[in-house]
Amino acid sequence: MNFINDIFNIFLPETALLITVLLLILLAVILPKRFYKVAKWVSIAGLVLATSLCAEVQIDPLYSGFSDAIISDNYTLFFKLLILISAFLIIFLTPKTVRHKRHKAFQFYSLFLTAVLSAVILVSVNDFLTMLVMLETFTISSYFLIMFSKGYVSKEASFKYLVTNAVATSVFLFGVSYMYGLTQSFNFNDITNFYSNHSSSLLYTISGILIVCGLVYKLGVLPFANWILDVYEGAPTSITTFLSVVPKVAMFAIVTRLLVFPLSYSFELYFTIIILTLVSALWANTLAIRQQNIKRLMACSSAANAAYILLVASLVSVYNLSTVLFYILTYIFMNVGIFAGIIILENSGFRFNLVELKNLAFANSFFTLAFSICIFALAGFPITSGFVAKIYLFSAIAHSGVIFIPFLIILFVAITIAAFYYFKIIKFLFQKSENNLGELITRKVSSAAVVFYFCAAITILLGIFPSKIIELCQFISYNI
Amino acid sequence: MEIVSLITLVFSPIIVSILLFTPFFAGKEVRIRRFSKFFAGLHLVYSLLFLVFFQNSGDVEFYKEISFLGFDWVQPLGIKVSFGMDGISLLMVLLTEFITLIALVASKINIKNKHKFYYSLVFALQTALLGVFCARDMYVFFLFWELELLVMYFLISQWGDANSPKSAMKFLLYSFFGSLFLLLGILLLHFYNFITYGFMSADMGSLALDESFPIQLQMLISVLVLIGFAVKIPIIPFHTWLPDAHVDAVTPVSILLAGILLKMGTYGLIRFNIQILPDAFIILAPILMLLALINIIYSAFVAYNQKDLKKLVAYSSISHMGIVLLGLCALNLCGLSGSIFHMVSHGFISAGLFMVVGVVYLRTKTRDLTQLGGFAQVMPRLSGFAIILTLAALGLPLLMGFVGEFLTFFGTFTSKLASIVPVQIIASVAIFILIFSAAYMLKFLHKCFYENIYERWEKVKDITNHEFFVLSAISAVVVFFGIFPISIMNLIQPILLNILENVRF
Repeated sequence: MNFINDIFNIFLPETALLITVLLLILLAVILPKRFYKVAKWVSIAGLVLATSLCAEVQIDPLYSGFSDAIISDNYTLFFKLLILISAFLIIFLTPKTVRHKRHKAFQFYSLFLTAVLSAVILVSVNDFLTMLVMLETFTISSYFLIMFSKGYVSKEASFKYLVTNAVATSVFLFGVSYMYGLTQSFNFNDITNFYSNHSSSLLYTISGILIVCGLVYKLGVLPFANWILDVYEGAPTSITTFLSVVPKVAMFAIVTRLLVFPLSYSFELYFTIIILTLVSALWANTLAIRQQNIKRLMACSSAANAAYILLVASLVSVYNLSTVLFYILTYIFMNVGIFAGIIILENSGFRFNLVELKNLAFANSFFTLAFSICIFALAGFPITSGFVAKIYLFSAIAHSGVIFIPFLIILFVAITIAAFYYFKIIKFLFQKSENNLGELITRKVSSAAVVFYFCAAITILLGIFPSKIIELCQFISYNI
Repeated sequence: MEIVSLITLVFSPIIVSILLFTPFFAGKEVRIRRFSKFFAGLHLVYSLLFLVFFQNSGDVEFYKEISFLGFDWVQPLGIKVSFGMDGISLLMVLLTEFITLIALVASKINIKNKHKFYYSLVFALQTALLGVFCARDMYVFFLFWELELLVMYFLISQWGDANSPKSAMKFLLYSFFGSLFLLLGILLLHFYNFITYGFMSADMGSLALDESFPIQLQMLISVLVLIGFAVKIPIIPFHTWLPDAHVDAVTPVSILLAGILLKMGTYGLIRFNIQILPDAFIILAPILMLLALINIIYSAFVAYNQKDLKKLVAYSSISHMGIVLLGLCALNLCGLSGSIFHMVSHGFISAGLFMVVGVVYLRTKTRDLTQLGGFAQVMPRLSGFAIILTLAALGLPLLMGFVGEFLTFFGTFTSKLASIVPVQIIASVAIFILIFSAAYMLKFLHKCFYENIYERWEKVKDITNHEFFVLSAISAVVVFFGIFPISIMNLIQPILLNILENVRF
């Protein structure tokens, strides 16, 4: 009966998602093709149900269930909510993607929700094996999602993702096997307890590095980051949005937890991650300079942002953790905002080349305003949430001590390069030309437009009223 | 609700900039232009009210905080949106108001398209500048500092020559890189202030550091924020954005850039390096003095060899900012008040010179000095103003430029830093280099307005009423404060004495 208890105490949101997935598969068989829109509404209902069931989850004190494989506390609940909210926003961006392949709508949404489900569980795992299963569930669902749009580019992207994932996962497993050999356990708590009584060895550091390297490929942080440009370009734009938000949130949740608990006994590990993130930030930003495709550019940008966050997360302290939480929260809205804008443009004939953005500011100034708000937020300019997030994130590095200032100066170089390519987009937006893309944007209210303006509004509001949210982030990180 | 409130002062321009997008102004360029000038004039009058109610106690007055739904802006970090004014702020605010009005009047002739966007950006810029000069919280200072960057990027890139997007990007990247260092300095100051004294505050007034704050850390912070300000002032290795930005920007934007924006750097230097971190600044001052000397000498030589009129004036700006920096490094009442006076006088004079250059460029479509000549014959009124402004720029007594230069050099000569660096020699060298400033200024005047006139310029028309208004307003100010400098001195003396109390040699 323990199992049933666990489900009712902490697993209700996940169960709701699971039932929705099964329902979608069932409906795929029952309903004819012309009811394809039902799939979207069923998924939205499932997400809303799961989000509302989060209120029933037991978080205080920490609850561990399923033989200590899953835990539940403030921290996991925060990330679960972030994932569910971003999935909820992204699902409104999908209709155009599905319209081309109506007969597969139910499969699409069931896979989408499976990916969300595995991300939600991934946040709260407490065990390397459960983690592996959830990682694989996530990636297998994403192969199909990436493949969903027409043309070979999408297939190629999916295959690239598959191959990189296979390599990265095996590296991760290699690290886990060492860890098991050292501690005789897969459980995070056991490993933490083991090393609080024993001194760490070189093998521990190596296995930690392998585990982290195997995990961060989903963030687009080196060494396994080469997939990110092609996959972001090839995937349907709604799925690109999904890939740039949901796996990232889940990965940050789990990597940060690993760095705070089982992998916290090696200084060399932290040092390696810092170097990796700095190199990735420079790599991603320099790569972005020459990109002409806005999706590839955003891929670089999201890789760079992930590197900044991971850098701060690797300087482990509760204060730094709170800055990471706040940055991720603001990042979701800026990023979804930009991609929603791209989707609106795509629906009016945009083929992702930056040059096509010319003249947009004069043809459709309201759209440009919201779009530039999101870009300014990514570049860290006032009065957006990105500005507060930038101050708060850097304050973490400054608080970690004066010795980190050389690293920070390297980061400054990376961020200045980033400002260059963000303003390259702005430059194109405000360039006069004969282009008429702006006039093609339909004035009709679409779900993507709602998401777009909502995200831009939240980005501004979080810049003006950040106090409450920062207090929440601090509460969560001080109680981990 | 008080009538004389800093919040109204700072935020009313940006509200107007949003109002310009309402249907009332849709497609009505004349209405937008007239309303903007009217509002800027009104705002100038409003800011004069602060002068009337200013008690000049040497402390912060008109202090105001904003609360956001019962919270401070970023409460967990102790960041409040707070504004206050002392003598230096008030002087800078008045300069901002005046120059903005001047630039708006000058805009009629220069801005031909995208009116609404332009005027709303100018008002946003005004808010950013007023915010920088009135902010009492370090992060608010930084917020407006970056807001100014963003607005200025659009102002330079959207109106100007074909090359202006590139120059705007250069300006943005330089300043952005500098401002990151400024942010790091602010963060370190904030955090170590918390560790040392045990209270979370980013208020500039409460950051009074004493001996318990380690001097190495003060040095580090001082250098970091200095890099941020050095890009803005600009100090020589960081100056390359300025000539490009000036050359490619349209005349009113050049006026704003030279008139107010460069002063943000020196203002920040006074606020952070001298007021908050005086001990570190005493150690840094000798090095800065040498840098200031390089600024003066190098840019004077470069300016002399320029063929492009705007570049000439731009380099003369750098040279004059060197004089301002020299006065700040002297760290005595004479030097500080001289350099603040020179900030103001350079604001007016360079704005006027850019206006003169802009007028010439508008009529001839060239800024090449070899192509020009003899304009005194066809534009007598312009040449009259040009003579006043050039003479003021090279420091003729009874004009505004002289007072600042004289006080600065006197301050440097009598500086207490004499035991570390040979201040007398530095001051003498700087004074003799002023001959070059006379040389390039007179060369400009001579080449442009005298000599023989080219045949193609014989039909050129003299200045219009708008241009006459701008130039005469500036010239009147330049002459007035050249004769009565004491009125500005009285305004800044109490706060400077207050600042210098903390400078312990």
